[in-house]
Amino acid sequence: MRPKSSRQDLIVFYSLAAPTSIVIIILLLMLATQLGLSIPVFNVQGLSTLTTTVWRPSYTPPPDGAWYGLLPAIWGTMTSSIIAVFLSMILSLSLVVVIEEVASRRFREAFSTIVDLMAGMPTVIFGVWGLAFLGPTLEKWVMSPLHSYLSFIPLFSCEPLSGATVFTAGVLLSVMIVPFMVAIIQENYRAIPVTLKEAAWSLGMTRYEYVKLNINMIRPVIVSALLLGFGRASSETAAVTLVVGNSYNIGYCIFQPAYTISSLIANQFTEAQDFPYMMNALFAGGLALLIIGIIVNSIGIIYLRRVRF
Amino acid sequence: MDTRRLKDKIFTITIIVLSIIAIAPVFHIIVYVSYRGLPIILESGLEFFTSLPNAVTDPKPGGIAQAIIGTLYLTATASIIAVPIATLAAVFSSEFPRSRLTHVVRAASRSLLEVATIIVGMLVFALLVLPTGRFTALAGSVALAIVMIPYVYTYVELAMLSVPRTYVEAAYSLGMSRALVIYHKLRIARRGVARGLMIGVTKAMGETAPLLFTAFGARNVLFGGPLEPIDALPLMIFQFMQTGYDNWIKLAWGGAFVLLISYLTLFIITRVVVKEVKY
Repeated sequence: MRPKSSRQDLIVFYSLAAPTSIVIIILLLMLATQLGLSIPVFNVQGLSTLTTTVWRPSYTPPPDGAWYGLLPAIWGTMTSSIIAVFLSMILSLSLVVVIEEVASRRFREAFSTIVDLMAGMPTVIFGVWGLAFLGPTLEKWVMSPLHSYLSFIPLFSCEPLSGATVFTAGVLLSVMIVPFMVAIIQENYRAIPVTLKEAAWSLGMTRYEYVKLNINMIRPVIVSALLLGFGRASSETAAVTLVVGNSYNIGYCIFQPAYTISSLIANQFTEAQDFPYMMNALFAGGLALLIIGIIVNSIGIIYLRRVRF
Repeated sequence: MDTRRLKDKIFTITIIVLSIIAIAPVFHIIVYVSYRGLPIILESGLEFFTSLPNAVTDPKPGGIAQAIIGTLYLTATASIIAVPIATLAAVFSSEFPRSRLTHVVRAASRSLLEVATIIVGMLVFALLVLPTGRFTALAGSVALAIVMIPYVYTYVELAMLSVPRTYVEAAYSLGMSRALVIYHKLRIARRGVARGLMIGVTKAMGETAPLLFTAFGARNVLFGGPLEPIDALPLMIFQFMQTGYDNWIKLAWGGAFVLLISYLTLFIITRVVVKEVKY
């Protein structure tokens, strides 16, 4: 298709290459800013910025006055995202199987449209729904009963004081990432060769056995979807900030209010300019978020490539 | 019924129930946000769309005109910045698929899609707000543009690649120059391009996090120009919802309803556009 390159072609190439590079420059600038602006706080506090649990803004710079330890926020991001991916995996797998194997054609289209509708919904709308409806509902019907009857399990050991908890954030995120997980699983589920599927049916398998077999064939995709979903969940900001409770806690109990990295940045960034090193600490949080994202997404994509028929 | 069949029945019923649980929230959200937001708009009437938020002590909540204007302004200006860059980059990668730059830009765009949008906000803060010392509408536009670029890029590239090869070959055999062929490819793929644009606009319209430290929000003027802070619907909803003031929470619910309806409208328009893609 490529005609022999002429002078005209070169003009096209270079005039398009300029705007194309902008996309790359944006990404590089992003990495550079996060890194550059977080270095000052690492210089003062060292790596304990990431491993300590005290968040104490002050006009006296650290380590004497202020201290900015990010661990509780990192912990909050991890817990809420883990809850989210596991719940979402159960929902997404069911949805994919129903769309592909159970629903009639018309229902299949309806399901897909609804999933698309969920995918683009402004996240702040999920947030206000989570704040006003989901949180209080979970508190009354899920968190309080679990705490009353199963409080010997560390996860449920603290009493939910309001609907705004790590657990609520996890549940809200699980709903929000369903379309994303469905897209990954569905694409690969469809790629299973028809001959294998027909062979399974011809053995007289029931639907349950047949689906189990299919899902086993795409097992790396399940791992990949968990990782990519985790990346998606950990980067969400507006909705999580509205439901996570925003208080600086760390612990195994999932019914306490907490911070995530993104909600910490969203809530404290504006004031951060008044305190020395506080803004840098928040940039360090952003850097941690970026690095977590890069790691889980890379591993997720490696697993995705393992599926070959 | 033997155990295999029983197991199968239980399995089928369970996954159907779980699927319904997975999609039920979206319906509940639409109903719930309408139920909370619509009465507030009906109560305030036209004032809701034409005036600024009242003070928290005022008996009436006022309106959200500044947020509607802000969202329109920010979405439009972000598109003006993002669409040319993203479209040209997409044309580049579909025209020179084996170039090294194409591989890098695809990876960069994929990474930008995954990056937390609040980090986009921090980047623009560091580049435009920190040096000038002020929050501006311009910074908000740039932040939303960065959010839009990877979406527009992805969909436009897809559209360009879907133009049948035979058309392109026919064009070259007529002696068309490369630039002219690109122009005609864009024309043929215009619905796909439009879809990319719509998805980008939808994303930009609903984003909160990139605006927190860039556009910042201004609720005492309708529009202060590109070098002053500006409000936006998601930003206002996010901030008002966290205050304890009755008036502002009411405005947040009304705003959430307006944002939801705008989203649903754009979603339907995008669907109609996509349905008609045929060659």
